[in-house]
Amino acid sequence: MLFQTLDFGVLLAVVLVLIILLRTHSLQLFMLLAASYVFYMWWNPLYILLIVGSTLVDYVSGFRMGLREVGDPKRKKWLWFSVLTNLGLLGTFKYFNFFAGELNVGLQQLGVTAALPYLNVLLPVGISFYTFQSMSYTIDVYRGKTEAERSIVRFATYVAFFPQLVAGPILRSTDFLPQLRGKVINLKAANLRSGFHLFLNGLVKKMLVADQVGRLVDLIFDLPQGLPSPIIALGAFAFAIQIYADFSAYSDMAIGVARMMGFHIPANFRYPNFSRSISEFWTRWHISLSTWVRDYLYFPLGGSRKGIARTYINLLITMLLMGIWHGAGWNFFMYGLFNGVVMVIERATRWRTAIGDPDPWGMTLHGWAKARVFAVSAFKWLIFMYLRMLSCIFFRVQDTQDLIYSVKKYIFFDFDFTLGSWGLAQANPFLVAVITGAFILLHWFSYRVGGFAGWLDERPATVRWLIYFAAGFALFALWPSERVAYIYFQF
Amino acid sequence: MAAERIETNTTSPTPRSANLRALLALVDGLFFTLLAGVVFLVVIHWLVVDLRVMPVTRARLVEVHEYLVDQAGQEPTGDLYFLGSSVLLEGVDCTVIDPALPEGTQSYNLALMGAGAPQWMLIADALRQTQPSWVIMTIDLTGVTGLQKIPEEGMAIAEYWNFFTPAAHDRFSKYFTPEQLAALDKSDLASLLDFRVFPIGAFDMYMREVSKPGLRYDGYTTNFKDPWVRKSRVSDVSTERWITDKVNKATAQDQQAMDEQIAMIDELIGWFADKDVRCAMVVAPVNPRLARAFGDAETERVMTQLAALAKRTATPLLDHRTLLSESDYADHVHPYEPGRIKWSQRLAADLGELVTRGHTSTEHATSEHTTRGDTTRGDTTRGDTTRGETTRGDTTRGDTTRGDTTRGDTFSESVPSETGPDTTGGGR
Repeated sequence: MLFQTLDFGVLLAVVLVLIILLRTHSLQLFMLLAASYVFYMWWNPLYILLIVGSTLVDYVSGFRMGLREVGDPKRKKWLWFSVLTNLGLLGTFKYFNFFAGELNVGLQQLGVTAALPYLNVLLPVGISFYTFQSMSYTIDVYRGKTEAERSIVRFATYVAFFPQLVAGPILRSTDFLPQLRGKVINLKAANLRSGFHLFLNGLVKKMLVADQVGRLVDLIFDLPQGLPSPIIALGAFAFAIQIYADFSAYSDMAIGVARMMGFHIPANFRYPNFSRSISEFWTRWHISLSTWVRDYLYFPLGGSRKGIARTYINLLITMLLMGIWHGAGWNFFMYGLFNGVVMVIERATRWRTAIGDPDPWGMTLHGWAKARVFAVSAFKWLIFMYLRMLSCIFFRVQDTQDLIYSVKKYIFFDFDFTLGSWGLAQANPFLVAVITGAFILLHWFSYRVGGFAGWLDERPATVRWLIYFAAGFALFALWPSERVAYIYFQF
Repeated sequence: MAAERIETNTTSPTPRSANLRALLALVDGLFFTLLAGVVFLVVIHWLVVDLRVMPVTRARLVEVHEYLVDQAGQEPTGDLYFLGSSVLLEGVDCTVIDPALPEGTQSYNLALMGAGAPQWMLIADALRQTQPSWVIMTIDLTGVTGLQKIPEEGMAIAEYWNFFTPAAHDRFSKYFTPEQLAALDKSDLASLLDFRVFPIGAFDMYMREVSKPGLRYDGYTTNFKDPWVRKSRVSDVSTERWITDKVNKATAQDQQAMDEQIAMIDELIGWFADKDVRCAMVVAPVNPRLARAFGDAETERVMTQLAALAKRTATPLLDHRTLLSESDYADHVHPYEPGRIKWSQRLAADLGELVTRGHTSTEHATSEHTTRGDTTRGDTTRGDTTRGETTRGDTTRGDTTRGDTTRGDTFSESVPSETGPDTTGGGR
């Protein structure tokens, strides 16, 4: 079920009405779980068994670990049971066919005729999200960071909470389970309005920006061979906008819907496009995943505590996992590797010192100091954007030959500016240009005010009404004819 | 970063009435968003219906239909109408063809961009009511295999401007998907929503054209005589890219698409025949580069089916596939100026003959044979040059040909002597 469909509107309306009708904690919890399962089954009823299976395994594992003291070796067995089951699900549904294919090609080249069979399965929507979410719980229980959850309904609701089930943000049990414990959902005007603003913000980003720009991206990268460098760069830039607008839109809408019900979900993005290094970017982009791999992989590997060489290796391993988390393909491997290598270089050259600067663009400064800080940041930003766009090519172009061609064209720029001859007209390029321009301005404004939706919360009614009207008008005018799923659903 | 203001849930429930009141916080947001929708519908009606602000491809469809409806109220003129896609639109100059036609007969180019038989069905009823003497269906081979379904907006236009009479609806409903039929049953209000993409598309098209000296599309929605003229050729690499794309998109479903489209053409021929409107099919020139990419087997497969249809319906079939050379094209499919002149002259010659002599067959299809890149026919006078016959594309010749060495005999070669003058336009 997509957020932008009438189906979801009806589901949300029903949930809100039921929240009002059911005034006890346990009934509301059951209702939320049922709504979450309906939400998922709308896509494929059978695959709910995967979520239920994963939930049961992790619930039992957590429960059994909770019966023993921290440090008891039997806890580790249950942890392995949980981790292997979840990774097994991921491996089977997401990676098996890729590895089978690669292995078969390798065997063929060695003259071996035997081949691994392929699995005829659909990739379950959002499998990487809910398995990682579920796994984080068992790891936290094992570490003693959270108590084992006794209520199976509560735990199942945490795993399958519908606003963020299929594309995140990935919730931590330490953040979310306490919000489900004994609390009754009371609808509050401030929450509903604020949640609505976030939802509207996300809807506009998805329908007016991501889906419109995406047509141009598809036109370029579905068949990049033969295209000159400026078009490839245009495609990379457009994809950088598309993927941000698409993914952050989903996060906004998920957080907005949860907020309508009084639940807090942490932000998944902090203006990553204003980063000045790839290292900084990863502290602002898909935060729920980057913190997940930091806490459950990078730190356990030793993080930066075991010397420089080991730090670099840990960084590379972490970023590689981050890359292949997105999917089974060499392009995702390259995506992770590229980001890892750049981060290692940035760390070695201390380029990443930009992280944590409270005023990186000198907005609070004046005169010469402001100009100097701004100029330095702008210079770093240009380098960052060049690298970010290159990493976008790795992410978007899955065919190896097309990827090699696109990367070559991007790096060895040919300055062929015959833009009018490449059939891009089908993607309404002038409309895309206008939309992109408007998005960049609004994005900058949002960055300056610390979030457009939050800014809107505090505006007087007349301003809000004007913005509702403008957003509504734009949505009616530009709503795409075709329904386009979110890019991150495939992960 | 602004602090998040969220009132988290507590252990004590508040009354239902308080929760209900809280819901009112959503009312103004939903109201103004929906109000914007209502205003948008008013604006879109004014822009699209009153001012015709829409992409030229859509505006052309509406204009062609209105022209036909207008003609239908007058005496039949005995004119000749071309149906086709953008290949026809850019490839045929009616002013070259008209002198070859009998006095008083005019030809009109009613091509629609991206159109094949499904799109022709949209205007078929109005066309039938005008009772032209001939309808020439120009068939782009790559279009036959890659059947273009009528998009939602096209169906919305058909619904809003009442393209479909009950008779046309009954006749053609089997060729439409349930979604397309549902679009025909939509209310005008719902169709207006489908028009939402038109002003944007028009804006984009306009922006692309103003960057060139003179609007390429200016006035062409209502121009049914002059060809649409391209300002320049696309680059060679771009052409290659389009061809690769086209070949990549050719799928196993193409056979089914071709069967569907040929069945539609069959239906159209029959329907026009009911009104004494004669039909002919012209296989449009195919860029040799594209033909090579698709392979002979592909084109022959289509030709065999077209020839069978032609034979079954006694409809002349002119095969102009190999008429043009690579340099005659502006891109992978559309003829450029030299190509347009050549094709128009060939059509003038062939159709002049056809219309002048009438078509008398009840059992044959005509196959026109050309050599690849046949450039010796750049004349408007019939019967004066050598044809350069080959057997390429000859799918029906063996049984009907006579005297085939000079150019003036295009149709005599296939007119069976045993039949009289055809007055039914197709013998159905």
